[in-house]
Amino acid sequence: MSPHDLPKDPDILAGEYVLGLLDETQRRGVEARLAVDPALRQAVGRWEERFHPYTALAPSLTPSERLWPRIQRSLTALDEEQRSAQAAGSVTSSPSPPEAREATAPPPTKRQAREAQEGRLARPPRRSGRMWQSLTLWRSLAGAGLAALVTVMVTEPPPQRIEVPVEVPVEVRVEAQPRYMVVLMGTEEATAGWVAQASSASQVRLFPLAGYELPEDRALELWTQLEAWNEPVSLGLIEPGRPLEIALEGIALEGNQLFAISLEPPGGSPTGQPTGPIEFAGHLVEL
Amino acid sequence: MTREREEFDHAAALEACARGDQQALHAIYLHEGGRLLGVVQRIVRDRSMAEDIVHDACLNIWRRASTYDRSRGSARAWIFSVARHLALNAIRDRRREVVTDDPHQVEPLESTGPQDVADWQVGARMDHCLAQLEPERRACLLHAYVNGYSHAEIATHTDTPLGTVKAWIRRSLERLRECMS
Repeated sequence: MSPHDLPKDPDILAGEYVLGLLDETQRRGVEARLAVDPALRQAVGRWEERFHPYTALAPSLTPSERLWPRIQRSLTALDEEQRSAQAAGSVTSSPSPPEAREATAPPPTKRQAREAQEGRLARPPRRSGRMWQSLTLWRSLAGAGLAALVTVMVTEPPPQRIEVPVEVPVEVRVEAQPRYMVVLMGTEEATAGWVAQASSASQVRLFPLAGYELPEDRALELWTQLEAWNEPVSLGLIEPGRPLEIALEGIALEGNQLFAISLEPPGGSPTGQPTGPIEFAGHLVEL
Repeated sequence: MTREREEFDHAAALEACARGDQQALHAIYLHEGGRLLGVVQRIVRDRSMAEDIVHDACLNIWRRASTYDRSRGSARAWIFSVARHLALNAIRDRRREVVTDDPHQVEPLESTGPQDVADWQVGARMDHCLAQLEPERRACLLHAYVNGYSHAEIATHTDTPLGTVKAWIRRSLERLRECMS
């Protein structure tokens, strides 16, 4: 399905990433791995160093006189936001000024990796049910992916086109300034499976980052749980490879809210609670 | 390659940024802003978009300066990779549509093409290794790195089948890795 088969050798994958030859989904996949894969991070670093001298092939240009003052204004705004965020005790995500978008390179650093490992970005939810409890097993992993991917997603310019494995490409308009974001990481493999974004607290857009082979006679069901709740609530069934808009009725988004996708019988969970394995999960980050 | 730029201590400037010294970011901008804009413009080919990306890159550099680690590589490469990946992310989808619709909308390579690379004194070892690749294969790598071309665009511009381009690039990366190690 992919237009370009990924190389199996991680070093060559890193090279293709640095050259900019991966498509969007593949780039995001690599960036998600960078947070949890030190060897890949080093390989990317090596290729960055090797090719760096060839940036000199692009002739230098003179920036407009307005550019530095604009950067300075954004710095001031950033500084103020950071101050007010610190005052409010915000820990889940770095505040960003209206214009700031995060770069994805260079790869995540020791500090980010450590924070992710320590699970500082993913607090445990209150759990109920056996399957739901399996979330603890990979919680820190999902946190690690989140750390990397929150930075990835905010770079996206709107609108964008996402190829999904159906007959026609589906146009997905990614919010220019999403207020909330969650990356749902696979629980088997530490790759990003889905990302949800919201620019308001009542509407979520979910879109796929990677293919998923749905076992026969099974369905995927999306769940969410606020920290104050004892159990998750269903947000309905989702289809692999298909973007989806979800209206949140009676649920207000809040930082660190848990989202998960479980494997259920056709038609969804018969009990109203997840009954099958959790395939993807992640915590909401307020941007 | 001016003496001034050689003497600029990028790592020290990043470390000063990490301490909250805005003058250090300004110094980076004064030394590298034009080069950064050139690199980004070459990839996105839209001047106002390129300036937006340099703006974003500067803010990113500022916010993430504390994550730069001297022992892990050159500060200048770190700074440029921030800007380059922002540019690549910005164009990747747009460019894919352009290629599908009309491959000729994409600007041709200018005269400062890959063939000039062997003359550059920077990165002598990489130059040596790149020089051992067949010229058309070397060109594929630099079309990607410098111009931000996708596989399909490289195929169009070099009039080479897509599958061949992909195989050349992969094989070239393998040979570069051997040569550099």
